[in-house]
Parts: sequence; C-alpha cells; structure tokens
Amino acid sequence: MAVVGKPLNIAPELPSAYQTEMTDLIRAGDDAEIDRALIARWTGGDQRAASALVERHAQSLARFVASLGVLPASEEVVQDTFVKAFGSLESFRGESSLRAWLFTIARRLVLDQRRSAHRMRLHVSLEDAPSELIAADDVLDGVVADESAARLRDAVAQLTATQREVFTLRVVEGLSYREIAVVASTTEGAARVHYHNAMRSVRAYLDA
Amino acid sequence: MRDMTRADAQDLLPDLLHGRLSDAERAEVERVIASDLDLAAELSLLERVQAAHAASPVVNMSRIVAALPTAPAQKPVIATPPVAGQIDELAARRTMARAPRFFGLVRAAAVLLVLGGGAVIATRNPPAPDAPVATGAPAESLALIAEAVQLGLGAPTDDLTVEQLRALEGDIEALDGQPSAEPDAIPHLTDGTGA
Repeated sequence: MAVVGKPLNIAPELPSAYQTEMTDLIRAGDDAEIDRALIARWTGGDQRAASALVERHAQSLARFVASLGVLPASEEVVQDTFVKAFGSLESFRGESSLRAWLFTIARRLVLDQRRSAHRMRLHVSLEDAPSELIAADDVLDGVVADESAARLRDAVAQLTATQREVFTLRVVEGLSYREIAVVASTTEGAARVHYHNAMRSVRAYLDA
Repeated sequence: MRDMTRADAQDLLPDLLHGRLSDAERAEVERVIASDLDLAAELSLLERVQAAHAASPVVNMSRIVAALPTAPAQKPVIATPPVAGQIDELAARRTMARAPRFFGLVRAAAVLLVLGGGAVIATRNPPAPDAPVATGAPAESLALIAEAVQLGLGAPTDDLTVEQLRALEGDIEALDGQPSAEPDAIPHLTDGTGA
C-alpha cells in the first residue's frame, strides 16, 4: 500500500475565500475551538465544513487505525468512522475533543471487526494480535527506508497492545491523558502509567 | 506557581512536542530540560518516534466526504408521504363538506328561477276571462318553496306556517318588478313606423 508522510493540506479544493477564512480560524483558535467552529458551520448547512473536518482528522485516524493492525482496510475504517460520526454530529456535546471522539469510534469499529472475525474463526484480538499484523507498519518501510526509523517502529511494535495504543496516541497523535482515557476506555491515571511503562520499554529496546 | 518538577516536565514532553502547552508551561518545561540531559534525550527520542510514525496510509478524502450525510440545513424540505397524505385528506374533507351546501344553493336557485319565471309568464299571458282563477298557492308550489328555502338557507322549514310560505312566494313574485336582463321590445322600433 502506498503511503504518504506529507503534512495535511487544509482542503485544497475549497474556494480561496473559504480557505482564507479557515486559515484565519486556525490561526485564532486551538484544535478544539476550530473543530467546534467547523461543526457549528456544518450543522448550519455548510457542507464545506465537512471537507475541512475530514482533512483535519482523516490521516491521523488512518495512522491510528493502522497502528491497531488494520492497515489493509484502514481506509474503510476511517470512512466508516466519519460516516458514523457525522450521523450523530448534531448530538456531539463536546465533552471530549472531536479527535478523541473520532478515535473512540474508530477503535470500536476495529474491535467490532475483530469480534466478527472471531465469530468467523479468524479471530485476532486487540490484546493477542499476532506480531505480523501488529508489525504491519513494516509495509511502510518501502517509503520510509530508514534503518533507524524501522528500529524505532520495532521498538513500539514490541510493546503490549495497551502500551502501544496509549504510547501511539500520546506521542504520535499528541492526545492528552484525558483524551486517551476516553478513547481507550480507561482512566487518566492508568493511561499515564501505561505511557511511562511504554517509554521505559522503548528506551530499553533501543539501548539493548 | 510552584516550580515544575522533573516528573511534571517529563509528563509534558509529548505536549511540548505537539505544541499543546501555553507559553508559561513551555518556558517551565524548557527550563527543566535545559538542566537535565536525560530529559533532553527523551524529548529527542520522542521526536524521532513521532517522525518514524508520521507516514500514514493513503486516504481518499473525496471519497470519504462523498459518503458523508448532507449538512442538516441543506437537506431538501420535502413533505413526507404521511404529511402529504394528511394534507390531501384534509383538502378532500373540506371539498366534501362544502359540496352539499354548494349543490343545495344551486338547487334552491334553480327552484326560485323556475317559480319566478313561471310567475313572469303568468303575468304577461293573463288567463282567459273564463278561465278559473287560482285562489291560493297550490300545495306543490308551497312544497317547492319550502324545499328552496331549506336548501338555500340550510334551515328547516317545517316550523313555517302556510302564511309565512305564501309571504315568501309573494317575495318571489315581486322579483318580477326588478329590471330584466333582457329589455322589453320598443314598439316604435319594431312595428315598422319609426315614429
């Protein structure tokens, strides 16, 4: 599968006036504020806001889904996540960030897929996923042909599923412990402990 | 504000990496890092881990956007079948409710015209001197008047006396005194004299 590592471009196909407006909004507020403003625009009938929201979150969602070992079908999961989210976006109360909410939906979809696979005797659970699936990031090596980068990914891949999930959300996606707690159905304290344990484990792997 | 501890700063390293700290917090974390080589090394490691995982599967944004539901306010306002059905049903009910009254008025007007027309003809063509003169409204005529009044006014006529019905008949006959839509022939133009 082809991969990209480019930074997100905010809706390049949008009209320039709208793009300027969005750029101003992005300069003015933090991520949560921008998302709230875009949601308000969408619920007010502005379909372009949907494009902007997808642009903002699709790739990090795809990255997260891939990190859960669903690389071949990550785009379908990402699309299903957005469809599900927009289906109930009007009822989104903003108790957590939109990003955390999207990640939560994506995670549930992945778990549902796993349960379905289990029923079909193709079980791959989040906790017990075989290394070849978890290490699906290896597919990325074709593009990021960097020995040290591969080694860093290996260091993350050898973590337990929970540690890897928390570590990825914290380091790669930049979620707070509170957001991670929402996504991973745990507590902030537990998320913090998992993160620091993961950090020690990664350092130990790289020092070995 | 108390000084930031090493543990606090370590906890905030990913936030520093993603630019999620306030200016004051960032300054504090950077101050701690400046005096702690191990923390600086951890921050460097986090940067490399992030870079190593920055690549993500290609996502077709257009396809995702196309699959999304329409923005709420843009949804076309179309009466759903039940509502449209209710509107049609209400309209039909109103039409049906008005129909008897309408046809009643038409029938009443027709009866009155027949009676009025008959009276006009009778006036213009007086009966022969030896012909018997009606001394009162025939029962059939009274019944027609009663029906006309009932249909036209929508009120029962059972409680009207014969005198009241005859008074109504007189009123109808008086209609003859109203100007006719078709003027009478002018004798000096039709008799050929021209005078």
